[in-house]
Amino acid sequence: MPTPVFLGEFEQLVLLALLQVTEELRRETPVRALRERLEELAGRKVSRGALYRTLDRLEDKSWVGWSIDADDVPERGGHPRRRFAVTPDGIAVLRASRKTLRGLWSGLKEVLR
Amino acid sequence: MKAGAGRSPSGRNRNDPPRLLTRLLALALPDDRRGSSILGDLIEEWHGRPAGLRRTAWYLFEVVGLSTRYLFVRRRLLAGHPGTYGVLDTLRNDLRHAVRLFRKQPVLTFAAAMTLALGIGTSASVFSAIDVILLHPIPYLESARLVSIATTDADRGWTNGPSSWPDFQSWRTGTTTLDLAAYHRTGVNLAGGSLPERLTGFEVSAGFLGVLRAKPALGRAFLPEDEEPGASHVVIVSNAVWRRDFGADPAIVGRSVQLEGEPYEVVGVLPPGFDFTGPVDLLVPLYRTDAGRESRWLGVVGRMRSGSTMQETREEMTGIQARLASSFPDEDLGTSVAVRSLKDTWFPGHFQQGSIIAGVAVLFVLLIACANVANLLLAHGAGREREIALRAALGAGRRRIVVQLLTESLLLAFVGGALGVLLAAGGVRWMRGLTAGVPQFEQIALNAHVVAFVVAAALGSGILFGLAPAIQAVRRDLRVSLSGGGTGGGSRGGVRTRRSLVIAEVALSCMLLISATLLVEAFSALSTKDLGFGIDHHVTAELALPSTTYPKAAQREEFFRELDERVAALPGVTAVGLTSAFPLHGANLTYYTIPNQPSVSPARRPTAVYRIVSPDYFRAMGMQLLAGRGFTSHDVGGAPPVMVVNRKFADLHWPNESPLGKTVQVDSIVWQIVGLVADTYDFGPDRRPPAEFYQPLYQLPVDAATLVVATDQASSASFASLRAALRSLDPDQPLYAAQTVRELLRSWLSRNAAMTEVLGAAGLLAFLLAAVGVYGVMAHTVARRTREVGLRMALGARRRDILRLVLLQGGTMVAIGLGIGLTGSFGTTRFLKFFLYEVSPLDRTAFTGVATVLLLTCLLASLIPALRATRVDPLTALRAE
Repeated sequence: MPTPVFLGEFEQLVLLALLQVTEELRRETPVRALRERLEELAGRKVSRGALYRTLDRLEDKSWVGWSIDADDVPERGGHPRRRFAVTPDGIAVLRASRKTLRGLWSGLKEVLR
Repeated sequence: MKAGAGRSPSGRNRNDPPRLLTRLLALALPDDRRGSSILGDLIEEWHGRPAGLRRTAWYLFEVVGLSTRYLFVRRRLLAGHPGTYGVLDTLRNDLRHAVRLFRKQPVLTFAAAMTLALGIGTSASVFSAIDVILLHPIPYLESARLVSIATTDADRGWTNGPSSWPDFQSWRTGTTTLDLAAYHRTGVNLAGGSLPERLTGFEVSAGFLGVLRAKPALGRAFLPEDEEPGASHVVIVSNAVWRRDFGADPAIVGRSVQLEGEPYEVVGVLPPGFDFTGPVDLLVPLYRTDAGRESRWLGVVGRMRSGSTMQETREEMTGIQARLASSFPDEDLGTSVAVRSLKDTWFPGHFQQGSIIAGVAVLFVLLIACANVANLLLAHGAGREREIALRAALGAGRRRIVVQLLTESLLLAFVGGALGVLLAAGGVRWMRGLTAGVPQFEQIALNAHVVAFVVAAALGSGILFGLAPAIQAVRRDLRVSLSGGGTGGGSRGGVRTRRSLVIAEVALSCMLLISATLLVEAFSALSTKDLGFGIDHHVTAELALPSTTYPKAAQREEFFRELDERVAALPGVTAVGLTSAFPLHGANLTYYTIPNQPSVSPARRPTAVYRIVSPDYFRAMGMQLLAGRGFTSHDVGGAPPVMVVNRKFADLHWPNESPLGKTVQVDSIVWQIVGLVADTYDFGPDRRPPAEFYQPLYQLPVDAATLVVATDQASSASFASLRAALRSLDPDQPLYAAQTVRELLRSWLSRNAAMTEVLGAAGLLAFLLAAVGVYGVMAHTVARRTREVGLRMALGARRRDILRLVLLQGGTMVAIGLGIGLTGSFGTTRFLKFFLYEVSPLDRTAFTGVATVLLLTCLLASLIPALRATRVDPLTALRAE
């Protein structure tokens, strides 16, 4: 049995939103697009600090990775732009989480109807 | 930073987010590409938002959110010792505790935060003006080395006179310590657009931009050969004109534009935001003239060369002028020069003084606000005795408790500061309105300096009002508090502190109110003064005839006659006058001599203000004709030269006889006096009327004139019809500087109005805060003494006695405060003297009036709690313990 991973609700939302946008863009996602999608999915404001902190944490766990955008964006005061993507490890964690959740949901059809 | 639009040359680009905030955030974020990219994301979003205050507020919010998140979480994450408690953890706990407390006491928190917001917001608004006027007055590089050079003449009373072209030339070639440039304000008509437009700017000598260290954004500055009278016409346009009228055409240099009906080649574009005592639309070269040394009309600005000092510069320049005076006695005898720093010329002493007074006034308001909040917290702290005692019993050290209480007050201060920024946003607009017309006033803005000021003010006031309650809290005898004894809140020391605070409040607000009252008295004296001409229902507007279209005197005379008739025919117009210069706009001086009086050397000829006016001018102005006649339409070129003099001029030369029939020689023409008019306050109500004579416009048809129209209806409707009348006569003629005389007078009085409004607002706020403070303390005292009052009443005291007891206590407090305030005012109101027109700094009405009003208000404020005390039911009161 694999070691159970601990995936918080917000972390899961971030990973899923990140996957969605990356699929649509067909390239890694800048934070702004990610945040917009998240707010749409979650139906609430997402604080900038919370999002960056979560991304840092996900990176520490090597579930997301980022690269510096090579395109020169003029209005960033000379600061680089990061683009994020979910790593294979991250996808594995999501799969595991989905499996766990499915297991938990199964057999509750009647109760939760 | 981009080289685009914005403030020049040291300020930030207006399009970039506030630099201070960005820097603060950079400190909180990790110092790597991660942190840098977070900054980049934020800046990118900033640029995607519509500019304005809302965007700045958004940025502030995001910066605060991000920094707190990174500051408080990073340490734990990196250190990885979840068990240790660091300073930041303590701070976080204290902050959480404070937030919880404030949530539990929303009314108290709101009252305290709003009080602080008022204090901080008012101070920040005034600071935004002080920042520009005192701290960043001159918008050029190394502005401390810039000087102005003026001609002085002790006999004539000139202290800041203009200079002549030949004198300027001699200075420029003679000096070794200065780089000099001359300038003269000018205006030109730009034709060809949808509406004829009037552009204003300066004629400047070569080197003007070099002296100011301003580099053209495009093209070049003027060269010495541009000063040659026969040189081809060239112009440098401002960045704003370049954008507005020429669509920011990058190929503008070399293009030709029509000014005054003549082609001018654009050789340069000024840097963005360039101004010189006000916005500048364009610069044209100052052509070398053969006007004499006695003909003075130029301003001169200089930059001290490196190594030279003000002292050396002064000595050298006075030496040069002394040599000129002896070489050219006919023109320069008796003159000298004054070298002043440009800052002191633009902002004379009263500006600096006024700014400091306004700054002190709002500082007082802030102090009063702090005192009020300290009082609130003290009263509130009294209720928290047990909590604090419990903490101490559980092992919290005194320092720990003080830190916790200070954290609370600082948090409160920053909430107040944040609200204060919102108030200051409105306040800054108020300051800009008040200082309109002052050089640089457009730079007054809610910028990073003001935000930094708010942060400092919040920090300072947080410590100030938090310290007293914190010290009070740890000084108490903890055992007493824990055992539940005491008087139901507040030790003796606490009460004493609170009373002292209220006394200080009353004293400070008394001083502010007296100053404000003095200023209001002076201002109403100024604005209601009879100036000798009509103020209401009078409008003025200027026009200038280009010499290319109207080269001949006869053409100009014809034009003015026609204009006069058409405007007079407009509905609602009762009289129309034309003058070479409107009184409050300024004046020209000319030399003259009185025939048959002992002759003087040309340099010592007397000077007087002169105006060239149309026949109906005196009637249109509502001026009083004292003797003789005004001008008629028959006073034209070819007819005998006639003039009208004012009372002051007549008294100067013919003290005890009628001036009618006497003659005055101006240049080579002898003019006969045919009329005498009353004096007018040409330089504003606070300056004496000058000696003055008037000459007929149709005899000397000048090329620029101010239209004065007396109306019997609302003036706003008239401007459009005036414009239409002018356009029907010449569609290329712009009518500009259209104003009512009332508006003109208002801008003339603006510095007095500004002082009056700022101190008035400060006084009023102080008054309200002090009244609230008195009420708060009395209410608390009464609540604290419920048991005592109950006991007294049980022992037979009547309601009247209780009332007297409470009122006496409040009254004593107020009386002490008033005593201090009145004494303080005796010593300080003289600093207002410059602004006190016809009002003594020790005006008795102001002193007694303010004292009475303050005393009555404060007694009223203590009457409410006193009445409550009389309603105490002795039984309930005694059972309370």
